[in-house]
Amino acid sequence: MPGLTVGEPFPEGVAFTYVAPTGELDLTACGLPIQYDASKEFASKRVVVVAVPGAFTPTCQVSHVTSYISNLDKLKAAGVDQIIFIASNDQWVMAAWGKANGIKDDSILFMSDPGAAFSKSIGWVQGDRTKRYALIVDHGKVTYADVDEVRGSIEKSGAEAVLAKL
Amino acid sequence: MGGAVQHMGSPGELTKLLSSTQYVVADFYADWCPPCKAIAPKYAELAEQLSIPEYLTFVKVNVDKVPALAQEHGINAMPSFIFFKDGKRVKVNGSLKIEGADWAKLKAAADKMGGLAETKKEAADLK
Repeated sequence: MPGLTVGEPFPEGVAFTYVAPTGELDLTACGLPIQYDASKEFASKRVVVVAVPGAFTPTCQVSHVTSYISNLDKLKAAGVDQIIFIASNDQWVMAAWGKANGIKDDSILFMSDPGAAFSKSIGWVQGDRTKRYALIVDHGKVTYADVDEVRGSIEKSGAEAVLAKL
Repeated sequence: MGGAVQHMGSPGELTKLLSSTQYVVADFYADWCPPCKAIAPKYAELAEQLSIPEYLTFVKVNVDKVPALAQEHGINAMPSFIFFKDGKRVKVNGSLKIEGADWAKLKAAADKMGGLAETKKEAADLK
């Protein structure tokens, strides 16, 4: 069955790429592209991973990322160490999307799942894009994993759904 | 006095320089980064004005060519400027690292290090 199973360990060897946010320094500094060893990082954190079909695309922009931005305090209060948005877009597009949404720090990191490799490995892709899904990984263990199959819906992967499972 | 900016092509090169030079300023940059290009000529000028062999050297590290050094020193943004005294990272004017092409901060830090280096050289010459 595609997807990740709740209770299972998060897979080994998962890596994403992202551009380090430069905050207020946008005009005077360039963020360094970073290879993020997700498997390694998730072993010691409580992380929410949200996959979206595309940066800047309608639902992703209008409802999905905005639901996380408006629930940022609640998510932090619930013990989330890191929120990561991923898509098949490259790290530069993801970085631009983060900036476009006013995120200047690492409160939400925007990363590329290059070639949708990770999403493909768990069977949650649609063509070249990732499906719309959310995961909670708590110190290496998957504690929530669900996908929105209904177009335009963030019922399973929006911030509210994730908050309910924290 | 004065000298050119030295390009560090490997972690070993930097280690070697750190053991032979009291004060070192390092510019971490990338070829594709416009702010780095903008500040490069000014950085070179600082080197020409302030370098003192064995006492103060200005170096550049290309983060794409020597990623190990960028990682070792926690570089997230380019340009980033860091400072060494007697081989160890030090704060200059309160900052361990200047992030971004902040000319005012960089000049203040370089001038400070230039002054310190000159004082050390004079003291050594008088021995």
